[in-house]
Amino acid sequence: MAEQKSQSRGQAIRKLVERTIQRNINGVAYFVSSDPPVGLTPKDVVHKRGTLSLFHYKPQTDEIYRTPILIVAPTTNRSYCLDMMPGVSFVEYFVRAGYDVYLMDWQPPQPEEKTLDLADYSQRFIAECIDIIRRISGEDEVSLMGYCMGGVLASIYTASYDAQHVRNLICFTTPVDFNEMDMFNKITDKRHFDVDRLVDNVGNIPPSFVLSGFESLEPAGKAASRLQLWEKMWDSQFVETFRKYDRWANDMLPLAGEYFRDTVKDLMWDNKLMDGTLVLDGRSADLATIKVPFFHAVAEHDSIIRRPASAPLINKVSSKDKTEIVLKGGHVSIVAGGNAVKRLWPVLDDWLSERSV
Amino acid sequence: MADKKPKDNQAISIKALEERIKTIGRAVLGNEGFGKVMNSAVTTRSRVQRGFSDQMARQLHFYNMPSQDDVIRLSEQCARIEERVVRIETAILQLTNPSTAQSGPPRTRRPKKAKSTATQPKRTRSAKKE
Repeated sequence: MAEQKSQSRGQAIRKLVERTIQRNINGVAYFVSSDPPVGLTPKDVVHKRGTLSLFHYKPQTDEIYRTPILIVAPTTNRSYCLDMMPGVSFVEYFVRAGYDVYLMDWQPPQPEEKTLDLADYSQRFIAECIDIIRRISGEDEVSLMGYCMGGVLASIYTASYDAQHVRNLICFTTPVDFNEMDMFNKITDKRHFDVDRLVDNVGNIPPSFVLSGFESLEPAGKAASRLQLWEKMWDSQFVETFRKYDRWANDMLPLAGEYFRDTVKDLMWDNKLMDGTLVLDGRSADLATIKVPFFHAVAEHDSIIRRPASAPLINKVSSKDKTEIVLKGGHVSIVAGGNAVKRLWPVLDDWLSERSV
Repeated sequence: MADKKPKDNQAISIKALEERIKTIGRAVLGNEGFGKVMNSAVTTRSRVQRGFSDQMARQLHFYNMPSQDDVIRLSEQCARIEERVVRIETAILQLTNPSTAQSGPPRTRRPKKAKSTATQPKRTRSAKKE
């Protein structure tokens, strides 16, 4: 018994020493190596104009579904969260499942693009990309997908263009009731926040401002993740994955000035998308006019788009064919985590495949 | 087991600490006074930035050099030209060949369910006799 005890103690000490050595090796590598590669699924850039790039992922199957997918990335973050690494890449999954996948990627808007507004992002750019896809694919309709703010843009397009060339609408953690946006509301409180003065003075909103908004949602999040990293520094695979997600979380995009002004005034202050009173470029964007097949995936523990903010969307759209799926996990895990690979993507694949022929 | 217990305790402690900081943080950041101070700080910063930029522009004009606003104006003109080129390109493509679908795999894939029902085993198995 005593021998067994001393043996297990010996094993524990050996493990501790091994982990300490590995932690030091990984720790040095963490600080000296460059950013890990992301967005590796083979693709072509088929259209580029200022802040907007349209990616076309190369098909990897002998035959593909008839209806192409157009993904609208969120305007606050880099689109590589949808193609983080092989095996847990949303884009790779759907390319391998036989879909023809396109993605609207956002680059930092240049100072001269400060005049781009919500109508440009939600109507003009999406319409332009759909036209290009129709030309390339020879198909008349696409399945429009949007993640987070990308979902808002996709919904506004579908509502304001009467679902022109949109066969299916798929949203991930998409806010609709902006009164429920918690800390974002407090940061942009109408009583203190002078959005006009800010936009007039700085033009495009710097990423540091956007990042501070996200960080205020989880004040201890950064410190906790650093502690977790230290604890698991011995695990090389964890460190590599952590670096990719950490890179993405801190790699925020600036926002075009007028787009930010519209978002704050129309969506945050007046909650026009929720009320059905949003009008952009003379087109009404009432979600109740959406009648195409609709799929909404939300995360149960999403601290960025909280459930009360995204929950009303399913009831707002008038589609007869509509599905909502609530997944355990947070905002990012819905498009880039093991849970999504096993539980969400196969469900979406089943749903979409039947509506893509 | 001996290895797992301290690790769990550590995870619990981190989580508890995180929750405490989160609660305090949200109380502070969500406070109206904090919002007021933060927004006036942002406004002041942006005004200083603007003032500095105006001053710099005056200096650059004195030395006959383009300021950031001049460069932005030129870039805006370029963007407008780019936009017109995109429109012209689209129009030309539509005029010359309205259906310019590129070659690639055929768009004939069928849903998995339709495929799988064909290969599913027959539901004729009867229960084993005891």
